[in-house]
Amino acid sequence: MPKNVVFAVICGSVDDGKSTVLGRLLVDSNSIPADTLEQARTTRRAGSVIPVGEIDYSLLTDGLESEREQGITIDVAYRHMYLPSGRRLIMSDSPGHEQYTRNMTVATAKADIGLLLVDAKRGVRSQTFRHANICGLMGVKKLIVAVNKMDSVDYSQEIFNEVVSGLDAKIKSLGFETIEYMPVSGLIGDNVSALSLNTNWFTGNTIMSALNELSADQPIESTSLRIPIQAVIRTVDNRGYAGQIASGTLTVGQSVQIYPSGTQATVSKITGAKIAEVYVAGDAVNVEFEHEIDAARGHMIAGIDEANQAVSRVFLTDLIWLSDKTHTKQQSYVLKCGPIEVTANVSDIRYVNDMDANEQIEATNLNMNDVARVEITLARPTLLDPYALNRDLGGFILCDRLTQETVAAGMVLHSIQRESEVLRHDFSVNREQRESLNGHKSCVLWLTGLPSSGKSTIADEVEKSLFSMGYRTMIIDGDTVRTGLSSDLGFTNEDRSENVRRVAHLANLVMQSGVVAIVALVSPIASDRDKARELFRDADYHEIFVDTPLAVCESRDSKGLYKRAKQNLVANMTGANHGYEAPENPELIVDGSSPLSETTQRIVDLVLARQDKP
Amino acid sequence: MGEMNRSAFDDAVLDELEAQAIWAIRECASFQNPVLMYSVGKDSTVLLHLARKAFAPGPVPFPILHINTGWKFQEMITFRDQTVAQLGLDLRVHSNFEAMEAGVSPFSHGSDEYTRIMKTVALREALDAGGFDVAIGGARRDEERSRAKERMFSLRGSGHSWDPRNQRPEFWNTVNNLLPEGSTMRAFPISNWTELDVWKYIRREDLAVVPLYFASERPTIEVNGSILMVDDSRLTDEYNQAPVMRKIRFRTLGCYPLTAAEESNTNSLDELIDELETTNRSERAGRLIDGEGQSSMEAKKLEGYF
Repeated sequence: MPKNVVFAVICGSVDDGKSTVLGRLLVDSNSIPADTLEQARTTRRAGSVIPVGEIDYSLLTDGLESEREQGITIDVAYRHMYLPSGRRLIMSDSPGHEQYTRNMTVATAKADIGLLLVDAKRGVRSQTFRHANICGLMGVKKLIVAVNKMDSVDYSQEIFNEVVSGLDAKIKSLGFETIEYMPVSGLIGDNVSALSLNTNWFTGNTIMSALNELSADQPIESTSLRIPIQAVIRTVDNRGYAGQIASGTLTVGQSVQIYPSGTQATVSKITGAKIAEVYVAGDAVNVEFEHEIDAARGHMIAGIDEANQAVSRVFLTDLIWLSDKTHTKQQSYVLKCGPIEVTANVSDIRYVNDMDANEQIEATNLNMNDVARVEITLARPTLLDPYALNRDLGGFILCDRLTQETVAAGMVLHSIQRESEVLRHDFSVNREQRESLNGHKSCVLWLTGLPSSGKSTIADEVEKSLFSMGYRTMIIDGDTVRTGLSSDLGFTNEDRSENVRRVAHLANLVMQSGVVAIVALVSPIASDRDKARELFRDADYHEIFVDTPLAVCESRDSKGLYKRAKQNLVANMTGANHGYEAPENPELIVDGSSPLSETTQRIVDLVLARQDKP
Repeated sequence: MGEMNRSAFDDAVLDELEAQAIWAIRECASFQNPVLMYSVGKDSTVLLHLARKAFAPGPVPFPILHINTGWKFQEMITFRDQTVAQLGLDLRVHSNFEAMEAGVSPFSHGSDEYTRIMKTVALREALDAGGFDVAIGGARRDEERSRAKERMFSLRGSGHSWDPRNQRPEFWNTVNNLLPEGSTMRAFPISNWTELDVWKYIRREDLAVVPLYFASERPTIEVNGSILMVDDSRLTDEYNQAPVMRKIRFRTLGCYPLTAAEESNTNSLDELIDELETTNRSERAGRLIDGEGQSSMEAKKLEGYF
């Protein structure tokens, strides 16, 4: 989608100076009328130490009476900013107090860029980290971190570096494409829009130049056609379907498919806001078809067969709970995604993310400000795309049936395809009870690595060691699985994925039984392993990369695979150049050519450490 | 910042703002009984044009509503009637007749109380009488500080009151169009437009506007440093002044005793846009009703004002 109107969210803990920095950005970009500026020179709120005559930048941004009285921000304000590039930036000024987290998520939902403020003196606080987390969760790809109030710490490079390294360690895994840090004083104006001599040790971007650069980055767009139908427009002789193209392109004569019905149709006429040959993502259009079709608000115009995978009754999603009304198991909601409206249940809470402790905890209820990973079950098959591909097609809200209020905002990870609808029975004995009978907690150890890297050998040693300490264990070995559970599968990419899926569910069953599951499986494809990981809470799942040098694997070649691959006798064999995708963030990396006892101990330690976590 | 750059993306920015507004207007059609607020000014002109585009080639599927205080410029009423006839629109006009009969005027009750009675109360009455559950308005976030705080789809409680401390959250292109008993929705499709965007769009789309936006010799008097146009004898009677011809224009249009004019030679859209880009003065400075107390717009909105 073209992006000439760019959204940014400015966030951070309360009193970290958001309003002042934003006010200065607006003034420096010439976005504030002269008479409004004059007001900010003459008006003062109680407790202000800024001399009359100088601009009180914070006055330019707080809008509500109660906000000005209390000197805090309660709800989002949207401010226009003209960027030097000529693009338009809309800054969502978000509240810093924890009680207004809900409003902060509203400010973040549309944001392309996050501007996170940290007080140099007070350092990173829990709200700082929480806001970074929400930015990452809601799809902000570019984060600018302004370490503010540098004037209060004498522009110390040491303090700046300390704040940066402390924060970077915590937020670098949150999914941002870029994170940029800069030392700033909103009060003095250092590095807001001009580089400051007070920080001559710093040579990076100012906030303004970073915003200007980042806004020019066009997001990668999905090419699949999607037009959610908003309204049916009847004219004397025809019916048109009006909506905004969310992704893809549209021309007259194009064949499309209407979801969820699956009906195919050919476009006969397009009425757009302007006349064009090809209509693109972002355009508002009204589409007519060669033959009458049965479609209504909430249906989707899509490319032929381009949306089959996205239609499902069950979705894995992230959820931010916004209501002070607690979610309990029996509640059912109205899910809305654009014009789509369908009855929804939270069918399974995988975990709640405790951001302060950086832990995933089990939960049966959802409370205000909880961020959770859940499974949503809908009353009928519905088309929802992954949020990562398109926010408007994968972002949804849940509405309470009685109060009509918006109680949650959700982000689709992916659909879950089930052959038939199976009702989950609530059995009386649960995992926790089984674990307590066993006397220890269970978990999954997933060993991945090249053939002959030593996975099975290591698994064997680990099991022996745990067994001798009284742990109940079970090895799920790739070769064994292939002779039974997966004997119907070959070695194409699809079959390999299916094999990984089966092993993951088997491991989950073993773990649920209270037993430590040790998986030894090549599992070469990263996305297959990621799907396996999604079945588990973080604390339960340990990916262990058996990173043995290729030369060692080749020399071992216990099954003669490498030798036969060289003679082209084995198709699709995994090897260094045969599609093994090394894990990027495994919980542990071991070398299969290191002493076995050391490797074993490191893995056993994971199981022991697991015992102290919830 | 270079003025050259500001216009580099003008057309693309307008395209995106236009598409977003059309999206919002189409969402309004998902309510039971929408109405489009039409105040005859530049923002209403743009809003109406967008509504026509949103449902083209069909007609605008809901009525338009004008709240007439009885103190609007005559040229506005003429322009309104021409527009409605030309476009074949379903126009509803509502006034607080009771208050009119009782002689409520900007002079008798002060601008604040007058605005409450003739605009806010009249609007509430009209919305209730028509059973409208969503009122589409042309308010913009850059106009005023409390408007910068409002959602694009803003829930109003019973009595059309706004609770700024507890607004319904708003995400992506998803509108929660479910209304609790007694509540209604206000929708602001051009929330993210600036005054300049509005004028540039009017120029691009070649839309007609009320001539009062352009400079012309008009009869005026000066009251407390503000230039007011003499639209009829009620003004001269009140202030007991003889009108003086001045070359004036208006930046915003409201009730004429409460809307200050500025002396100007601006005669064309190009000049007008040029003037806005160089003068950099806030838009509603000429609205005498906004000045009373630091947050008077917010106070009015709490009671149901747009």
